[in-house]
Amino acid sequence: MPPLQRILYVDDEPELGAIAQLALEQIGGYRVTLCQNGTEALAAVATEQPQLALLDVLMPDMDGPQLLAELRATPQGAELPVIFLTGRADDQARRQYQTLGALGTIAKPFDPMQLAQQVQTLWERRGPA
Amino acid sequence: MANPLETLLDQLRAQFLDGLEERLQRLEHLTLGLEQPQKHQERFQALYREVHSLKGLGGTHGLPLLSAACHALENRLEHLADDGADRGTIDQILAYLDLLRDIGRHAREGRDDTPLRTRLETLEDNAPHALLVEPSPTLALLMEKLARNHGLRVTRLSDGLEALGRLLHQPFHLLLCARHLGNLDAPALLAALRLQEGPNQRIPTVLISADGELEADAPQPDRLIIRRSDFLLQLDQAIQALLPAP
Repeated sequence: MPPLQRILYVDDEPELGAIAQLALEQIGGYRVTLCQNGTEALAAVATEQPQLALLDVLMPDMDGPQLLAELRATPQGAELPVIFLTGRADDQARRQYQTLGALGTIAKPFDPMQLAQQVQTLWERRGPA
Repeated sequence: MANPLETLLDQLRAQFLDGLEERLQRLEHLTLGLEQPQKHQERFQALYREVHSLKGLGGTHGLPLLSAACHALENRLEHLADDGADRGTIDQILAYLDLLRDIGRHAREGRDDTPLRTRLETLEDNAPHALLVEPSPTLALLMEKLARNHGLRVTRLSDGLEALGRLLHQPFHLLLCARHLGNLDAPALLAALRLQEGPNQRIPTVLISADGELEADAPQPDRLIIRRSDFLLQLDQAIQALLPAP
């Protein structure tokens, strides 16, 4: 399994994106590309070639699950592992996102000091590529 | 020595608290716009998203009370229906926004937030409370949604005897009741209620009936609504008329 280096983080809340980027880069040592909406994310997947995408669920215009569906229809996003971030991370929601093909779900609000470890754990759980 | 990441996060937290007033002003603007039916859905969705974002930011910045207050407000917003909110509901939302403003101020000044916790609890308890007694789950769901749109907390029951038991001990602000109920019909329930010196002896009551007028010697509800195609509209108007003043 290749080490995780490049992450795409999509959240319409720029302040939250900045915190996540800081935490993931400083603690996890990853390179993070930030996007604020689905359109930006679809373009970034083609140019940045992330190994993993973290998608906020509740976003205007295109929400996280819609973005996942759009990604799956692109050559670069067809098999891109995705983790959802959501304020409603109950068992039912987690199962629903798993059914959609998500690698996992991280509850919001997240703890910046723990985020990189949560991401790494889910990444390692996916098994060999 | 402080961890450099923690120092950066502290700076971001300070920036967030500095920008909180601007966010709250935007939320107030959206809230006041809810009174107008035009573009209600757009405004409502924008408001909900902003509150949701604020909840996430509050939690991530280590401000659990801010997050909890946003969560309570989010729950209140979820019960707003598709039409414009009434003045009482808007006042309640504005009260939450005032609380968020004070939580931010206390956090900036490093003050104890215990009084604000109490205020949040009071705010959650302060919504007027309706007892809805309706045996049909579908109708009960529609009626509950309507009542919540007026900012009411709603307790739902389907049995007349159980409703009487509750009404004799727990104060409510409004009773919404179907005429035919299991174990005890609404006219008998009302008669028993009016005879007892309990917390709901004179509770405003809306009775929904498919049969027309009640017996002349039966205790009369404040509003009798005949279950026709427009009964939800009639119910909406009755709740509006009987709601306690905020």
